Amino acid sequence: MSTASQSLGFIAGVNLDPTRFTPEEIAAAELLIQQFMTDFQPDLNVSKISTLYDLNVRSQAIIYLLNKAQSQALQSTQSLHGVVANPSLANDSVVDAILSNVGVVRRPGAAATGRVRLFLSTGDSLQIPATTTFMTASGLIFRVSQSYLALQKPAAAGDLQIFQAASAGSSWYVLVPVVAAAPGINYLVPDQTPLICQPAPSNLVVCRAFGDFQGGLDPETTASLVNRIAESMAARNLTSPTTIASTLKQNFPALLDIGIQGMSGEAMTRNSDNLLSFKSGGFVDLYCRTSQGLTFASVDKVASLIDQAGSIATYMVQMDRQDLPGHYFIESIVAAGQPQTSSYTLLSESRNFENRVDPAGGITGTARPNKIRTPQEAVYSVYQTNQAVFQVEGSPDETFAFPSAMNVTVQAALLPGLQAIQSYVNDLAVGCALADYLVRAPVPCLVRFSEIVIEGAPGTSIDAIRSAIYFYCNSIPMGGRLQVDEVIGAIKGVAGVRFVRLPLVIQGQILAPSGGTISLRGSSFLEVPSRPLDQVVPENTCFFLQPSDIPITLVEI
Amino acid sequence: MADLTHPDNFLDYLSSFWTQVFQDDGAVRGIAAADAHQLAQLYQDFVESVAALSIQTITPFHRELTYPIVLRKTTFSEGPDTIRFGKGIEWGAQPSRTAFREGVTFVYGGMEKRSGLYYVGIPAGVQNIQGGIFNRLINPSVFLVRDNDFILKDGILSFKQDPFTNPLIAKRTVAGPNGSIDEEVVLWASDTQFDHSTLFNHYGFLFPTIQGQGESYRRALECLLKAWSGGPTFAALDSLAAALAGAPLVGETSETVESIQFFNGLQLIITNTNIYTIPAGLTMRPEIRKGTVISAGQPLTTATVLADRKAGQPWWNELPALMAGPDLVAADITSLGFLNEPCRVEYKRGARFFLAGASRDVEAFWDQVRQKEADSNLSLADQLWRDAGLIDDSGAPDFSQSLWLNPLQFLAEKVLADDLLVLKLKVACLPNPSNLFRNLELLRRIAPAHATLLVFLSVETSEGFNLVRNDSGAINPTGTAPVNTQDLLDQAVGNFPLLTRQHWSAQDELGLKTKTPEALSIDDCPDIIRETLNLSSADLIQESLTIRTQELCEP
Repeated sequence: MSTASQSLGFIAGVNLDPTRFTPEEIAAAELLIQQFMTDFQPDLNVSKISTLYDLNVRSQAIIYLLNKAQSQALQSTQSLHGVVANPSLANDSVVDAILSNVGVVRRPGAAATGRVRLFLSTGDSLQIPATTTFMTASGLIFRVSQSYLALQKPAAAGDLQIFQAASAGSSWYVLVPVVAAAPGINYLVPDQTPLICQPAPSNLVVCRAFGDFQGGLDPETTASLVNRIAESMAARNLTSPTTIASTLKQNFPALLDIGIQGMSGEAMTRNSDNLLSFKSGGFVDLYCRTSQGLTFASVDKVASLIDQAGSIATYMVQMDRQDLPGHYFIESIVAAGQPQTSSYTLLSESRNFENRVDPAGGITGTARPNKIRTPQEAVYSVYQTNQAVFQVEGSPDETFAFPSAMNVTVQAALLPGLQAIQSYVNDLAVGCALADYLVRAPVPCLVRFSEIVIEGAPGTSIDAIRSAIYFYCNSIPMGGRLQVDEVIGAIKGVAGVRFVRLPLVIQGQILAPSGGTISLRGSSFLEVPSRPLDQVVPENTCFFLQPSDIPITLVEI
Repeated sequence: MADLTHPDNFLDYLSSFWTQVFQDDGAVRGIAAADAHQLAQLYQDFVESVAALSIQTITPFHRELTYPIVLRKTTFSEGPDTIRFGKGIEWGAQPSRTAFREGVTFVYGGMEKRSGLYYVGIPAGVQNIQGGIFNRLINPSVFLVRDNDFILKDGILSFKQDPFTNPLIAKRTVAGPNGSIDEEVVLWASDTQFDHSTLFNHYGFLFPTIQGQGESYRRALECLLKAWSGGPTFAALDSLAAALAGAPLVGETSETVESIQFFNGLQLIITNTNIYTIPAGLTMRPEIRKGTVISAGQPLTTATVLADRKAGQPWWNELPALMAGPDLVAADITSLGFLNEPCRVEYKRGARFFLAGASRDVEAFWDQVRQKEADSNLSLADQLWRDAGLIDDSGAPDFSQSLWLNPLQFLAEKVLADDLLVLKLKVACLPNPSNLFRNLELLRRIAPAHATLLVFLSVETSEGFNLVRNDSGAINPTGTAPVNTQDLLDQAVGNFPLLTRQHWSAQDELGLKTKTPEALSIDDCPDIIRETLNLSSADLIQESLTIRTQELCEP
């Protein structure tokens, strides 16, 4: 770690250089000395051709200016803005040390995680050592976090299952959990990305990413860190939008953005339950973005048969509020133990809520710390419940007897950590008296790009381009808009990129709490409309872009 | 211990040789004086660095103890008709609200216009010359007094007399940029202030929407940081609103008002540590009285006043009505007016009283009330008659008795009650209104989220404005005539002067109808207030034109 004195930027023998100063600065310093000397002895020759000028005036002026410059540099190091404007004044560790005084801590970044699908030619048991690595064509490396034993019938907890598949050239596969070797969003490789396994099992046919990898995050930049200073200096309480954001971000470092709908918020509906429909005080909805990208998680449930017609059966699965709290949508429903790609056909989702909470935070009490009147008000909150109906199709050439109950795995898109935030704000030692804080995931606007054609130098990294677009889109704060020119700016920031072909069309799909879908499309920008009746306003809606929704074609020139 | 920043002490410190043995002791004294002076300046820089560590002590401007002003004959201009603007100063007719105006800026003592001035631009960043201007650093024979012999404003230094004709000021001949011969004099300004953006670099960059300079900027940042880090107390929000508007605040931690006097028509508040001047047009807060103890950040005037249910007079008292929109009512309405006068409560299908607004909005509101009564099995009429004590012997509401109700009072005291923070602004009186309006969103972010901040603007209708079309198709007007603000607010287009109405006299494509502004934006004294008024009428083409207003008031 450098010290403040090291950070001043003065190097002996280099900085004693009069060219550091403007002619006007030097002239002013010289004039002062010349004036004093001639004031005391008017007949002195202190002009630029005099000995006194060479001996004294010039040297004294430069020494004075150097002292002054050091003083100014010292003052700059005391200013965070000065440090950011001139990074040579202090390195990251100095900035971190200064900011720790006001409670701002640099986000360290996170390693992406995912699963790799190994297609195998035989179903023999397989040992996957802890040293196994998987590498993309662009050199990104993923590791396993432990050694695994893969079997057709797993015997112990932690064993992986070898499944039978129908892919051409291979009959078996196994899904191996991996983690990126380093933090960063460039490790968010999309589904089906080819990988090289090292050491490769003898029966390996091919291996690919299974689903989009998740969770990768770059370490926070100093500029971003400085942008958070003001917020972190705010009082720690749950009173004003600023202090709420400050308090929650300090307690939940994963909280990236927060949209607050207070008493007169357009999307606030919980506070008008009176005869005159006037909005009353005391209610705050907190839309918390806890992850850059969507997270996919799964839960095992038992589905009930509700209808059967020939070879087609209809099942219902009830997602209680503790099952994937606040989830956005169900991605897949599969028979327990089967891969997500073999999902049944989802027919409908029907949301409701349960807001009874006992003092310990359970579900059986009668207290309702958060007032909710309608299912819409609970959507994407931890009180949301969801009833999913799906269809199972049997083989037509056999008499299919559907069981009345079936074990299924439900996978849904969500933002993690909402339950912890809700519990925190409901803590009587934390929240303001009389205030009702409801935590919800932001309304999602799912973004897709049309084919992005980029002209670039040979070797330009598509992964880096994808990461740049992903980072920009998933970092837009609530209330902001997604601008094509900024997307292009992000792309052009990648080494080797020369030209981005237009038009670049973006589509957005807002999943409104009312149950409706609002479609957006634009070639210059996407902006969240204000639809208070659907509880969609710019201030509570986030853009989400998945790596797989960024199709890129690189034309090498 | 001797103070080495004094030249004699510094010289003594060097040794007696230089003053008693060395022959050219004048030169040594000069060198020592320069050394001592530079030492003092470095000490000043160091003090400023230390002071910058706290928003309470930071100095808004950097101070140079002496600063050389080098004047060349060829860069000089004689006024008032041939002003040579300095770098960064707009040439030609000055836009509205520019501080530097010919014939206005150079007014000595705020009264008399002088002529025969001599102007020169000086480097950007020089904000003020607090002391005087001298011809020498030791025993000066020329001493120019600020605001009497010279004025520094908007980067222009203007002298009452030509320094080049003063025989006491040394001149020298120098070469001009193209080899020409020029004359140069060096004058010395004492206690010169420079804006090195220290306030911005240390604190202001955190809140870029707050703009300003000097002490008012520092005060605004200090009040903001107090509210920001201390939480939205009533006093903190009150101070912040006043500070953002540039209204005067108490400076010290605790002061006692010793007397309140008038001087030259201005009200003075004299405390045990400060004397505050209430600027013309502003009114002192009633709680400021002789003997009152006032504390840092407390606003001194009513230019901005924060109110809630508990503080001072009921905030709704002086309002004729309050228009409530979707931000206050969860109903499909545009706006409802709650009058501040007694209205009879009718009882038909239920209770209802007069509400101003479009009939569609009014009926939608009452229909929703009826629906909620049915859903909840509650009755608004029951509540109103019971609250008024109009009950019969059995304790049931007696609807045969008349009930009168002030809708605004009912709204303020019964419905919204403790859910509102009200900020009242006297727009015409605010010293820096644009800064406040630019930061209303910031105030909203600091105010409690579970309450609503209402801002009331008090606009002086006695003022007039010139209205000019502001759309792309507009033709530059050859003249303007002021429109009375009351006519503007009343949408009394017929009362507008003919010249102003002619600004919209363009015909439609068929030459049949006259275009008219559908929406009109009032850019009042702060040019960011935008209140949209509907000025359309049936016989005119409705078109989204806006009007740019130009104030008439002169500084």
